[in-house]
Amino acid sequence: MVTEEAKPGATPWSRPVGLRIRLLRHGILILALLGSLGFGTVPEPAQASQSLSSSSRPPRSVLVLYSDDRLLRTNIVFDDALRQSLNLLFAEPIECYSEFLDAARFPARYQERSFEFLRAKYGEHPPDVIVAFGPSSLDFCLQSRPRLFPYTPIVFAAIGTDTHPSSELGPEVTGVRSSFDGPATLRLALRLHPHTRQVFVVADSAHGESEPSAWVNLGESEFKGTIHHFTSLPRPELLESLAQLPPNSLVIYLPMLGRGAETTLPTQDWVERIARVSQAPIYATLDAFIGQGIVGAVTTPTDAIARKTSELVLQVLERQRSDAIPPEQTLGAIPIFDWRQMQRWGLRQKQLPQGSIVLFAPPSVWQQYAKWVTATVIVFLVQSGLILALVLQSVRRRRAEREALRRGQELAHATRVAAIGELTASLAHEINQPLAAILSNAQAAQRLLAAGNANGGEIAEILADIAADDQRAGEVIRRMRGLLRKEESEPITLDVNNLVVEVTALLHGEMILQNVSLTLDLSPIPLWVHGVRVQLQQVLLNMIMNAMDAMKDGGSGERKLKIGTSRSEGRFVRIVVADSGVGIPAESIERIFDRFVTTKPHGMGLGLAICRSIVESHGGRVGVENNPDRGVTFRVDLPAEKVTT
Amino acid sequence: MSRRIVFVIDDEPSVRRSLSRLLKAAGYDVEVFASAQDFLRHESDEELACLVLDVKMPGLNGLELQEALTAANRHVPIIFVTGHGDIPTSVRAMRGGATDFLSKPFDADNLIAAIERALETARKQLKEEAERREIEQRLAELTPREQEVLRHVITGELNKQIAGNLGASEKTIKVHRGRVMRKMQAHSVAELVRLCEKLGIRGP
Repeated sequence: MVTEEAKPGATPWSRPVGLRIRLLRHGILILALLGSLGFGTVPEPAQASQSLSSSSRPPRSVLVLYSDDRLLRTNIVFDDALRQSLNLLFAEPIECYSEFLDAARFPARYQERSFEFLRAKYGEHPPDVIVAFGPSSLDFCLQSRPRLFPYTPIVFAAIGTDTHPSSELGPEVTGVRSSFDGPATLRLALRLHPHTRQVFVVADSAHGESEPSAWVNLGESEFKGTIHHFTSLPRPELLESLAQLPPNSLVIYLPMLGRGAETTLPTQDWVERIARVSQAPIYATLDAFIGQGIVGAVTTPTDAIARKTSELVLQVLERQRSDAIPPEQTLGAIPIFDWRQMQRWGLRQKQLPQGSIVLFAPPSVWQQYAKWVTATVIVFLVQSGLILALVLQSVRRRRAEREALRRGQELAHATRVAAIGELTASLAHEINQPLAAILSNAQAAQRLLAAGNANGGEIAEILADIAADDQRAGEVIRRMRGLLRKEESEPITLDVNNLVVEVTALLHGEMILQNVSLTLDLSPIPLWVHGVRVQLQQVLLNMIMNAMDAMKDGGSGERKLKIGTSRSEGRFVRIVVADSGVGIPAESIERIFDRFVTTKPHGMGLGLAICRSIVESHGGRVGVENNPDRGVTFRVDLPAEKVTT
Repeated sequence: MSRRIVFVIDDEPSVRRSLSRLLKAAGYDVEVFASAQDFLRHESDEELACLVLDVKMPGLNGLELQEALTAANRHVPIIFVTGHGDIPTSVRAMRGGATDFLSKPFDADNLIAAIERALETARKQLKEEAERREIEQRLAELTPREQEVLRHVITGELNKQIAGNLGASEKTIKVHRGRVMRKMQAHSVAELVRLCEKLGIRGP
């Protein structure tokens, strides 16, 4: 808000942006505070005066009389700043008129006419305050006062401290004195350009008779070089001289010398031309030229004069009838620089004295694009936040998925361990069979050898049998360990026929124990699928053990287990496990693969649920149906893997 | 020395083969069977034999074979071997008359010791069986009257008491007793009693 309001008014002539903003902000803040607090004392007089003015007379008016041309930069800056400041300071609307005497460029006759013109223009409603800007204007006001608005207070501005002494001004006159510090400007210039050997003082030929040396009069101790004066040169020659300045030179431009009506200000294009041709940096005594090619000046900024003037105008307007006119104000000079010229002459901001004002510095990215930068940063932050949130969410989800997978694997592992536990007896049998054979073979060989009636062929046979049995026992242990292993292995391409053979081998002892007769109806060709071996083994293990349980409960009937493999519907490989057990009640068959659904008195209902989740994670499907005669057939379909061999 | 036969019944070919080798090396005659049914189909002679029987087998298992043999009155001593023996199974086996119960893998010496015990049992059984048959033959030579007298004699009755019980003269009883003792080849009443015990003949 504040920045935005400050922007349109921010001319290069005004204070640095920061300062202006602060000023505006203070003003707005105070007004807002007063308004919001309903501060009793302040709004009331304002309202009173408003009602007074609206009923008795037109709005208050201020007439600003400028000494020079309307387009002169100084005048424009002052006019803008004054109007702005007045509007800011005054609660009620205020009329502000500007007139330009342009005294120096036209004959004295014309001034007489100007006076008539003003009387004709403003006579009917004399202004409440006249602001006289510059010495010529003040002189004109003082001279014409008896005939033109004799009672109107005069507030002057742009008057030096050494002219127009207060005592000679008469009553109801006050104003702002400012300084154009020539010696200080020269001193500063010499400090910034320490190698200077010649100083050229340029003053306009219009006031050639004036003696400019006093303005730049520095002692021998301060400057050992030479000072040249270009005061009476015609303009073309001046330009030529400036174009041929020797190195290590400095130009001091004094545009306003002399007194009264003879004083004038050069036009901007002239200053620009001087600056353009000059081979040396130019310093001046007026801030209005900064921007036209002047490096810097030690002077009172015009907009500061305008603000001080407006304060005086306010005091004058608001004083009681009996009050004396407020006293004059004096503003000091401060160094002001043109950033662009600093670049041209190789000056750096660090070299400038404390409190210097630098104009035309390119606004920083922040100043220039504050809104965009803010918006971009906000969008960036919001996006970053969102991205971070999404990343965190995804991390959490992945962690949860990993956790779920881990739990699933742990559960699968636990059920495998439980299954192996159930199979302990038959597995011990499976291992002890070959061990028994090995031992018997070995001891038979010992006996044969001891008896001395061993023949080589027989011993070789025995050893071959021992090796085969040992491998058999190792195979059982390897399979069992594979099932007991906790971590899941990587998916591989495997033949389901092999898978069936492996698992039924593991269950061989159990089948004997339970008197189950197994029929394998395996496809004559390998049926390749892509899967995790231990998981698919578990599927078969669970299904077969399930089938055997069903047959154990099934009473006295013959226990027949049939396992078959085949291609199914082209792209699937099918494994069927058919038993001759009790079958599944019709009401459970739909949900038999769900968790915790079981038809067994001591079952957990996890085995088939794990089967389904494993098969589905392999892209397959499971199914079950009761056989027409007795028992059920479980179906596992796994996507067939194309193997090119 | 007569044949000492060990029947090995195991569904596992490698076990059959290794046991066969071992026992042959130890000097036995070995006959192997892949299943209990195969063994039941085998004609059994009266011979000195024992059985090395796997408990767990497809089809008829070891315990069921034991029961079937008992039912068929074939008293061949059985040594059970098992891959994973549990207590209920072993108790059942021993109650059924098994001579030993070995867990696989077993040491050859243990097995052979068990086989020796079983064969000793078998030898005793064969001897008793032979004796019993002998006594039965002698008993078969007695007339019904003599058999009647025999029952009274083995209860320790005197001729006079027997005569009173059977309503015959003491003299007649005395003649019968003499024939009984001669036919039964008993030299004393005590010996006659022992022979009758073997056949399970009791007093009236």
